[in-house]
Formats: sequence, C-alpha cells, structure tokens
Amino acid sequence: MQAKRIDRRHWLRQSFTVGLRSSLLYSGISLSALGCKRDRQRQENGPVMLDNEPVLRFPDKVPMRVVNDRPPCLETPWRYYRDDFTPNEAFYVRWHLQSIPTRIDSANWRLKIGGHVQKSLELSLADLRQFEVVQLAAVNQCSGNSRSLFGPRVTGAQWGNGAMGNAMWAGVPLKTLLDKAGIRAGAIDVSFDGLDQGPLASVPDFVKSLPLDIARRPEVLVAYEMNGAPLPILNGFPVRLVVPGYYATYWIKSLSQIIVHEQTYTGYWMTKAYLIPATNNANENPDRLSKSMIPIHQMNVRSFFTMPEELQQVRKNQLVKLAGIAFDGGSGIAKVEISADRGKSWQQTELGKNHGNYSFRRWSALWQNSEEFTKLLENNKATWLVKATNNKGEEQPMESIWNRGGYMRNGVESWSVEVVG
Amino acid sequence: MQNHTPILPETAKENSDSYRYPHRMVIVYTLFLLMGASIIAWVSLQNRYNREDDESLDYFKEVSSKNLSGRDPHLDKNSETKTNLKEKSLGVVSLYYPWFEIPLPPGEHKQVFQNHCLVCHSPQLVFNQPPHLKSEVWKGVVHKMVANYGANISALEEEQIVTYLLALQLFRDYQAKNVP
Ligand code: HEC
Repeated sequence: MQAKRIDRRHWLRQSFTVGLRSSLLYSGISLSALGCKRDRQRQENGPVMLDNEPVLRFPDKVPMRVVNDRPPCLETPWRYYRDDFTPNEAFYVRWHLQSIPTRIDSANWRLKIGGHVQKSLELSLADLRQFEVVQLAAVNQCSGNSRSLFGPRVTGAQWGNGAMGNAMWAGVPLKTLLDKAGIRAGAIDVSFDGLDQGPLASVPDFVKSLPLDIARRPEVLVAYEMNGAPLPILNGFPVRLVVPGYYATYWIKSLSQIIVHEQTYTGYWMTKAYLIPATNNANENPDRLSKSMIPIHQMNVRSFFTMPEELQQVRKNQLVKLAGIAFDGGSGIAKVEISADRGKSWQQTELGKNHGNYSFRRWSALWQNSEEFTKLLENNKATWLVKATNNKGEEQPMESIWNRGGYMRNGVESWSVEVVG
Repeated sequence: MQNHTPILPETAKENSDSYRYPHRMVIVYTLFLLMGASIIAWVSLQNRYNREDDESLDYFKEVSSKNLSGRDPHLDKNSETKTNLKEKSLGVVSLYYPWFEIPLPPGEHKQVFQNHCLVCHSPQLVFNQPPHLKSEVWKGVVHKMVANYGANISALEEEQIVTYLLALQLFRDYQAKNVP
C-alpha cells in the first residue's frame, strides 16, 4: 500500500512536472509558437508569466521573477520597496555557480580563517555568536542591477531594477575575526569563498577579495542574521559577508573560507569578471571601449519611485503623494529632488527616517497639478523625474551611463501617472 | 404452439418482483452509479490532497495575478518555515528548489546545443538574453564558455551552436507576435 502510494505520488509529480515543462515554454521560447492549442490551455495551470517571464515561488520566498532557475537568480517584486527594509522572503537572489549549497548542517559548519595569519581559526556558528554582535542597516545591490535597461543592451543576467534590497544585518565585524587570527606583517589582501562550486572543475570557484584596509573597516561584517532572522539559505545561510557601500558581488554567501594574502589575489572573478572601465562613473562608449579596466567596487548614488503605482490614474486637481527610496555607497543621501518639467526645475523632497548612511533613505513629496504642468501632459500622462545627491556632492546623471558589463546603472529615473477628469 | 410464453394470471403478474417493485432495479443501478462516482471522487480528492501535501510541489504552485498585487497569501505558510528555520539554526537547513525543464525548439544543430549548453546552467540564462544579438556577440558568448569556463566544445561545434542560437530568434519573433 505504502509503496503504491509513493509510486502514485511519484507519477503525479512527474506528470505535474511535464505540465510545468510545457507551461514554462513561455519563459523564453515557445514550441506553442507553432500554434499548439493544448499548450496554451496548460499554461493556465502553470506559473503566472510577467512580460513573458516566469514568476515562481522558491523555498522561503514570495513569488518572484525568475531571471534564471539554475542557478537561481530571482528578482524582488517592486512593491516590496515601499518598506525601508526588504523582507527576507522578498529579498532578491543571485547565484553564479550551479552547485549551490542545498544542505547545511549548522552543527558541523565551520568558518575557516587562514593564510598569512599568526593562528588559523575554525569557528562554529556558536563561536561566532560569542563575539559582541554589531547591527547595521545596509543596501545590498547587484553590480548588474538594471542591466536589461541598458541601451544598447548587453549580455549577462537580465535584471530589471529589482536586484537590490535593504536589510538590518547582525553579526561579527570581520576585523574582530582577523585580529583574533592575527594578521602577519606584509598582508595586503583578503579573499572570501562560499560553499557554492562550479559544476565542472574547469569553472573557476566564485572567490572575491578586498584590499586589507577595506576588509578591516569596522562596518564590514560576517553576518548571521538578516532582518532579525537567520539568513534564508538562498541568501547565504548560515553567514554571509556584508560589505556596506560595496556592490553585492563582494557579499559572499554561505561564507566558508577567508584567506589573508601577501600578494594581490588574482582569481578569475577579480581579474576577468566584474570589471568596470576606469572612467568617470564607469561610463564608456560602445564604439570606443575603454582599455583600462578595474574591479567594480563602491556603489554610486541612485533613487527610485515607489509611490504612486506606475501608470496609476490620478485626478486633475488631486494632491498626489510621491515617494521612493535613495541610497549611495555610504556617504549618505544629502537631498532628493523631483522635477515635473523634465529637469528644467527641481523641487526638494522630504527625507524619511535615517537608518544610517548605508541604508535606503525614504523620500516623499506632495504634488499638485498646475496650469503649466497640464501643458506638459503627453497623452494625459504626467511624468516626473527623481534625482538624488549624496553627501559627497555626487548626483545622478540625467543620461544613464553605459558599459559592456552592464554595471552601475544610475541615471535619473522617470515615473508616469495618467491624469484624468 | 403459438403462445410460448405462458400468460401469467393477473395475480401472478402482480406478484412478480419486477412488476410489483419496478423502481427497485432503478434504485440498485443508482446505488451502483453513486458508489462508482464516490470512488472516483475519493480518488481524485486523494490525489489533490497528495499534491498539496507534497512539499516539493508546493513551490510549483501557481500564483494568481491577484496575489502579485497584494501580500502573498502563502506567507502564512512561509512564516511557519521561518520559525522552523529559527529552531533549526543550529540544525540542518536544506533547500529543494525547482529546475525548469525547457524543451528546446527544433532547429539545425539543436543536438549540439543540447549536448553542451545545459551542463553548467539552465537554458533560461541563454534564452532570455537580449533579442536580436549580432552573430559576433553570440560567438563571443559561446567562446567565453570555452575559454573562461572550460566548456568542452570544438571550434566546429561553436559555430554550429551559434547557428542554432541565431535561428532561435525566429521563434522569439513568432512568439512575440502570436502569444498574447
Ligand atoms: C563549463 C560550464 C559552462 C558551459 C558548458 C556553458 N556555460 Fe554558459 N556560463 C557559465 C558560467 C559559469 C556563466 C556565468 C554565470 C554567472 O555569471 O552567473 C555562464 C553564463 C552564460 C551566459 C550569460 C551571459 C554571460 O556572458 O555571462 C550565457 C548567455 C551563456 N552562459 C550561454 C551558454 C551557451 C550558449 C553555452 C553552450 C555553448 C554555455 N553557456 C555553456 C558556464 C558554462
């Protein structure tokens, strides 16, 4: 009886997967393009497609746009940015190598620290919790966030704007651990490796490095908590590196090994991938590619709209509340301005609660339609721009930058609503 | 001779079961049908229960477009997983996640693509690259897999794969036009 039951389940699972297969035809290319009606019907039982892309629910996650299923790359739905902190269930996911950790026994897990140190360490989760805990709000943004919006478009994971999130991280400062191991004289670089691995030995392991002076900054954490809960396994359980102000490529997930080096670490993911042109704001011309490339590092300043809903209808004389988020690489947000006339004039917005310089900073503004503005309406659409300036005086460019890797997009964003009545 | 069937006297006729209780057979048949129907219903309910019961299928569950604009109704279930996770934070945490099985559209050298390009990542990563990439760009991508990641692909196969990738654009165009 039991065996039969399992068999039937197995069969059910298989037949369901077959259904899923056919529905997923829609994720990119479709055999049903050949006009197979059955597939179209089956799709109704499959995952919902957004812009022809699958939206699925992964373990411990809300339904998210699947940029890639294997290894998982999942994008945060936009409405979650209405909170200052992005919930763990909706926090975007980005893995590079197919063999991601799928089973972690926290009792046996150890963080190894070695290389050019006085005493190599092997720390358990309980050991890490012995150190004084540091809490910090910080934005984690993928280097390639918004890559699909580049023009001309570039290859790579095709992210919209949802490859970012803000969380309250808790853990041990990396410096505390490095000091415990005792850095020997002459050390200049520190590399970080996680539990993920390439599917073949020829695929370079995903290892990133930071210069020692950056690694020793007090805000760099080995975090075991995210928004007050253990990290979801898809976001790097049991611990991940938190490098506030730096792009997420350095925030190694499921961190397992830290090595201190006497020479600059030169692994593939530092010297061949994640490179940006060594130009102002990583900008280059598609026809004249920059010759000098450097590893990506600190985030530039960005801001977004989160309210009202894009293309929502508003009345002609309605008072509209606009709101959104802004962040940068750690100097903090000085001001956020909006423009209703395509950048001719700018109106200052009010900044929300300050959770620290590395966090999302909420901005909001009230806006009422005016005579002049009515003249600017196009097809009854009102369009605003938003521009943030950080405490270093850097502001978002009116035209988005371009580079071959599809990194660091930060142009002024626009947002439209429909004006009726 | 002519009358083989004996003509029953009125009384005998009235005494015969089917005559006296003409509904009885109907009732029996109905009962049979009902039993059959309930077995079918039970089996299908069981199947349904099994589906919902099966955690691995949970993640494949469809999401209605309504859910996309409000809080996820599955979150309650999720918070359960969360508490589990907390308790398990000194135990074992495991992950089962869905892989897509995307049938490859037919095309010249499809087999070469299938042999070499599904090894390290999902074809999803390939299929959702920007549309209308030039052949040099695809050539670059395929060669990157060989040069940087050690894909075991000959120069001839590289060319064949590029041919297949360029042909895929026709499908994408067709789909964009024809799938609502
Ligand atoms: C040996 C492993 C391996 C094989 C085989 C392989 N790839 Fe990749 N591929 C990778 C890795 C690793 C990445 C980078 C993933 C990341 O950055 O998330 C990648 C990324 C990509 C990307 C994203 C764009 C980019 O430049 O990063 C595309 C498109 C792609 N591969 C296509 C292909 C095609 C087509 C084939 C078949 C010729 C193929 N891959 C075979 C390992 C492989």
